[in-house]
Amino acid sequence: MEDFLARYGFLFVTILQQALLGLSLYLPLMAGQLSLASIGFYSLGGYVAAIMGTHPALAPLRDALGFYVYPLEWLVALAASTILGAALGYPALRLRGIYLALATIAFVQVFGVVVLNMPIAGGAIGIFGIPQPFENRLAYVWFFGPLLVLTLLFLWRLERSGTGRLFFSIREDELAAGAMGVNVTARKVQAFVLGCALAGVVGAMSAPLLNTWNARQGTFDAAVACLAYVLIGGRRSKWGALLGAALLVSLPELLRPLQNSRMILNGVVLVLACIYMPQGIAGLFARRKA
Amino acid sequence: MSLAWFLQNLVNGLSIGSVYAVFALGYTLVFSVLGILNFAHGAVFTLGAYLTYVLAVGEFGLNGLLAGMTLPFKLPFALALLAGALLSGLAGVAVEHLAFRPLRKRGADALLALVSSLGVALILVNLIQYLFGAEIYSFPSDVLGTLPPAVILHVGEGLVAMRTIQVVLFGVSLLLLIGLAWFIQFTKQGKALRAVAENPDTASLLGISVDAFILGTFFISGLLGGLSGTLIGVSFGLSGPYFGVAYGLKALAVIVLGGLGSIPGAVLGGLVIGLAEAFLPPDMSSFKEAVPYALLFIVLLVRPQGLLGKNAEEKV
Amino acid sequence: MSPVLSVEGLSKAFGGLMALTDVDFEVQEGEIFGLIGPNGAGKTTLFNMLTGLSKPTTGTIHLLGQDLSGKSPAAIARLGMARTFQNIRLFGAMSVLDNVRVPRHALDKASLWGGVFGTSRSRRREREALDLAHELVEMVGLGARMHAPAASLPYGDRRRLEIARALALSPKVLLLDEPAAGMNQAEKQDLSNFIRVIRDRFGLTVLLIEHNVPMVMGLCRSVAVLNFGQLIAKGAPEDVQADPAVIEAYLGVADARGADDEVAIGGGVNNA
Repeated sequence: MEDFLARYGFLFVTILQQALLGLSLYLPLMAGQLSLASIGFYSLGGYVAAIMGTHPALAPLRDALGFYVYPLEWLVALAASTILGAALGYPALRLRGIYLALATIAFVQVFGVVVLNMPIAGGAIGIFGIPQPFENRLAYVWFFGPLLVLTLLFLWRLERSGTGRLFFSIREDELAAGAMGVNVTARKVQAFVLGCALAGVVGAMSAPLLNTWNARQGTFDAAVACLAYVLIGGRRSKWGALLGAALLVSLPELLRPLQNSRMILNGVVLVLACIYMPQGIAGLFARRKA
Repeated sequence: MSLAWFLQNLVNGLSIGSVYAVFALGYTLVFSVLGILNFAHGAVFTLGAYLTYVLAVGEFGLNGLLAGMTLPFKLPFALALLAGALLSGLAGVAVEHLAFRPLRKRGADALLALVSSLGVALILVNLIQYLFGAEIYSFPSDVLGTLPPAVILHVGEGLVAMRTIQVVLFGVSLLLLIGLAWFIQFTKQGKALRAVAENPDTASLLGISVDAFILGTFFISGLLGGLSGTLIGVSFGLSGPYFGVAYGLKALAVIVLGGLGSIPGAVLGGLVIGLAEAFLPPDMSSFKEAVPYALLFIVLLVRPQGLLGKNAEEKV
Repeated sequence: MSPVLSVEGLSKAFGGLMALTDVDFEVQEGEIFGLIGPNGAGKTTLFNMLTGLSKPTTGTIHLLGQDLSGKSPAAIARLGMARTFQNIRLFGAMSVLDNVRVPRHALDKASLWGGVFGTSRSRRREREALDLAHELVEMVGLGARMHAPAASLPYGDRRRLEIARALALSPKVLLLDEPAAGMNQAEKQDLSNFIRVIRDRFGLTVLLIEHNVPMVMGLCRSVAVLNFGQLIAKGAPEDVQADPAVIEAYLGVADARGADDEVAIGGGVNNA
């Protein structure tokens, strides 16, 4: 059993963590907006936690707060992501479709370079020796598990509220939504900022888990992986991100016996999933239900 | 801020910018025909560089499955470049067959095609890693034969160094751009391409086989991708199977800057970004990687359709 | 009495092409105002400018005395200008009921956190939105299908749902873009009656684009005729019908396109 936990504990935690990142992409997608900015905010949140966890000037704060420094890190990351998200969202969300996706990719790239040039973020090496609240990596379930449950509850309520319907109306037909009085830009920014805030908190939780934090946490590849969770899992359902992350995170692990060719197979699965499951895994369930 | 300084940056910017333009053209051609971004384009770029390397040098490195093997022949660089480009064109065709055609036949939406092309990119890149290993490959310094490494020009007080490879980069790119311009202007397929880029609905009206037409586009796109990969590879080395990813992303910035789907836009965008990188003040050189994206971001906010793109009001 | 809607010197150029040239008209409260003209005359362009989807090149639009220049489509909609679309633009994957709830939520400026935490204010507004949606959906005869996705409805039902959705904005002015497209004679008669009923019940002013001349003549108190972007006639239906410029414009169309009824089908093609 212990062997099993040692081997798969980290995998399990990673699935929860990546599912949350997938959900941070799903939020703007609820309002029809394809944004890849999440990974930048994930990186931002991680840096906030890494700096708060290691900066010598903050040692008295850490001593005074003990374990409570972690929730404080989450809150600071949440605030920072919300502010930066709104600042980015207002100009960027005038763009539509693929242009928004590209602008958010550009943001992620610029953010990465800027961070590399900030002394406080440790340059290319990044920040290491980030204090860890748990000895066992599986124990991080106590971070990501509740956040995931809360996020799903939030989404469940949101989908059944007026705001959720306004988001969906934009996804269905942005122009018609505007003609029906929906303040399209404001609602898109709202959905976008929610995604940014979630990604920021996930980043803040992830820095201790990974022990080190550097610019490689916020790359284009990582952004694309998150997009793949949502699309493979099913982009019209909040369960999609969870299903997609579960499949795509565990796939390389399941394919481990194949060693070098496993990443090739990973690509094959991605292609096949696009062709044979256009509505994602969640789409398969929906069809059965109907 | 001397004249020499200016000319040196101009040389650097134009040579790299012209390669960006060629690479980006491959992207924008596919976009103008299918309305889809082909994320495997960066992988084809990498593949082209590796193929040319193998054909010109005849060896396979040390770590991959093919390690230690040698080809019975070595092609002169120009020939290897051409053969590598043609093979990349075929790879482009394979990408179309694997990632795009099945989705097109099902009428799937563009987002899925994007992820599917990413899947193919993953396959290609890891196949390269599997076969060639993850190490750095550099073209031998004598790959261009006995040409001198650089020409030094005296301009006023200062010096302007024109590396031979920069001349090759610029020359080959220029030839390609001229060839492509001729192709688009005067051949039947080229004219169709222009018509489709103007209005995607016209393809079927032109009485051309859509499938063959798309295949042709992917072939040209792959050819341009592989060729630019080789040119960058000769200039800066092949830093591993992932080295095309960063350039692929940069080319994305190029085509959006110029206007998605616009052929002159891709050329303009490539030159603008090449020059912007070259003219970046030395004390800001650590921000060089951010230049294309910062430019892209600003252009998108000011002129969302890109420099040469057309602004279309949505039809109601 | 001041007009509900007044349009002054309205022009729209696409590139060098004038889609609309110097259009003036006023619509009085409670009127059913018909806008007719051959295809491509600029009728939908005019609707798009009235609703803020497209910016006029020159000219002004006033709704209830308020200048609409520079206002977003959403702001104009919330001021009381609702519309339907020639090619029907519903929120396809959303249920019939949800389609009709959206404008109400937009008017309420639905609160994100209020909705998620279910505050009493939010719950009250949700209930009101639902009640209104029920009422409107029943009124257009879709009560039995209120939980079906809008995209699954047959064509005629979708047209009716779009009107219900527009009514959920509690508009002062309702713009209907070819509501009778693809309908037969009996259905057109029903629609005419329906438009009169909702006008009276909700105190609306209705602006109607329609190709079908008999329907417009029967329904509208005033009519304006557009041809090649110019307002060539306006006034009472009988006067307009006798206007030589109108006869000329319509005979031209009849020559090219055949009978009026065939022209009317044009709107239905978009539905394919």
